[in-house]
Amino acid sequence: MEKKITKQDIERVASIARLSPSTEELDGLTADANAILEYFSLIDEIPDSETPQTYVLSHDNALRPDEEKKTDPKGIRRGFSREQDGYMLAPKSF
Amino acid sequence: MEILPKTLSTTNAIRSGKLTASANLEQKIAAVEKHDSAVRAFIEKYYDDARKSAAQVDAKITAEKPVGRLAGLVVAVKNVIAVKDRRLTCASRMLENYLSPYDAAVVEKLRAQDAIIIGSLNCDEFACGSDNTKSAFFPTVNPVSFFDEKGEITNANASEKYVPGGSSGASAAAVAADFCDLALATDTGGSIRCPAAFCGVTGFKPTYGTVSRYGMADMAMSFEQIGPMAPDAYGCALLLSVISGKDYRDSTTSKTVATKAPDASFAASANNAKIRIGVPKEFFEGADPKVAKAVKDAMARFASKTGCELVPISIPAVRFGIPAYYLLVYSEFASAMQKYDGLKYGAKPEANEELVPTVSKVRTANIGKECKRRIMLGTYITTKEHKDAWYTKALKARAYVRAQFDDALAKCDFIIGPTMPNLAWKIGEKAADPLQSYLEDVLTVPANLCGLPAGSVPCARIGKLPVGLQVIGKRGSDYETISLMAQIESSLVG
Repeated sequence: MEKKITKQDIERVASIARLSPSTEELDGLTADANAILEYFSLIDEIPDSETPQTYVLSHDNALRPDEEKKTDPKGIRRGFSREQDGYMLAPKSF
Repeated sequence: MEILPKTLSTTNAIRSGKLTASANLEQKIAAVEKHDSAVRAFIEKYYDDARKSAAQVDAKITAEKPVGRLAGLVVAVKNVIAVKDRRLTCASRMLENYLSPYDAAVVEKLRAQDAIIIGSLNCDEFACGSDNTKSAFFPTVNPVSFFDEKGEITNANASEKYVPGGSSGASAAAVAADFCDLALATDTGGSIRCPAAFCGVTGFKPTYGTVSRYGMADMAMSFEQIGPMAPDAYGCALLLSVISGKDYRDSTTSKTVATKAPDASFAASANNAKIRIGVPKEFFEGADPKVAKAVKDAMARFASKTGCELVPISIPAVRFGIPAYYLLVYSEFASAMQKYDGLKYGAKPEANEELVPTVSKVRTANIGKECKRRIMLGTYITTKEHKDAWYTKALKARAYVRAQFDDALAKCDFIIGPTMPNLAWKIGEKAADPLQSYLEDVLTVPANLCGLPAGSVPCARIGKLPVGLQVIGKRGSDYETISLMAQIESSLVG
């Protein structure tokens, strides 16, 4: 399949990734992405019959006693960019 | 006369009262104050707290009260691991002033065993790199750049400065420069073993799921492990015995058992004649011939002294390691980095506009170049239209690589070879081409793809640059793997 990445692809990906690279950065990222993925297309040689493996461990349903754990909301809250009445204040989204 | 590992000598001296914890700490602080302006390993130093901890340990020893396994040993911590109320920067502008609300599980364990935590260490930004030049703050310099023939720092003005490896470059540098007895680091694709090899120290990446990652800022969750760095295999085994084990806050540890502490027979094997060590030809093919020869010489010496059998093997899937690893790291890293939005913690947005521009601005301004590249590629290859061609294919490649390593480890007890294909390079080299830098990880990423325990032991020096020998074990054989590393270490002395 055609894997060549265009500057438009990178612009679109940047907006999904919440990044706004400059025009110069976009050129660099496009060139890097093409060079890297061209080399990585080596994996096309892997047999398609392989089962995808996300983790080396099997997925187990690990349970722990349902006990209340102490948390320190002050430590968490001091990281907030803006706070009101103990809540994080986020910018409007629409 | 038997030469004791340095870590064991220090432990014995502290427990017997010959060396106080406070005196040990002051020696380390003096070394940091004298040489860290050249090495630049530390992000933050915790001298006041460390002095209090050392005094408490000394009081316990004087009163003949029981002390922990790490009593009085000075430990430094890679700054992707949370230490309560201290800065957790990940060597990034994004988290430059972020204070950890709690201790990581491994830090709780250090404290419980009476370790003295001296400070936090530099690394590549969010652990993305192989040479520690990608820290947003400053590059750490390999202390061997300043060493004389005895391994002492005597030439702090040396003009040729070498990288310490990465991403845990400063963890290895701090051990090599004697700024600490032990260091905590993380290894996602070789980030403990590469700097161990480059700085001439010992480092170990445990089996995936052995050490709780609670309180560690994640880079790629399916690969990384926290592990020890030390002057010797004994130190790695001792620190691993403390940090390993089950933790309800990290489900990957649900079936693990803490690795046992090194005992008197740690570096001795009763039955070496039955130990088969696989030597894959692919580990030597692309390596610098000088490195390949140094490793082969060390292996031959070890085998003749111990009676282990070296078995030539082939693992052709090694060549798929780099693409499989990086494609999956990109994907997991892009996902892990979504939480850095400037709202909950870390760098704060300047103006309060609408959500998306606010988040984009703060991320663009505060995330470094290599991290951005990885986020972009990870986002690209996991979009619906490209996922099958890249992400899913990389997951299949991971299974393919794993099957070949499992097969090799069914026929052999261990696999050994070089840790890194090349010697440490000078700071500034390999900066322009990211792919060239990635390819340096070819011999370390397989252990992460397969979740295997793997460590690096110094085995030679070429000029002033150390060479690392890598030992890879079977899943869960962490103690046996470090024990073999200890045997290799002692076979190379004298």
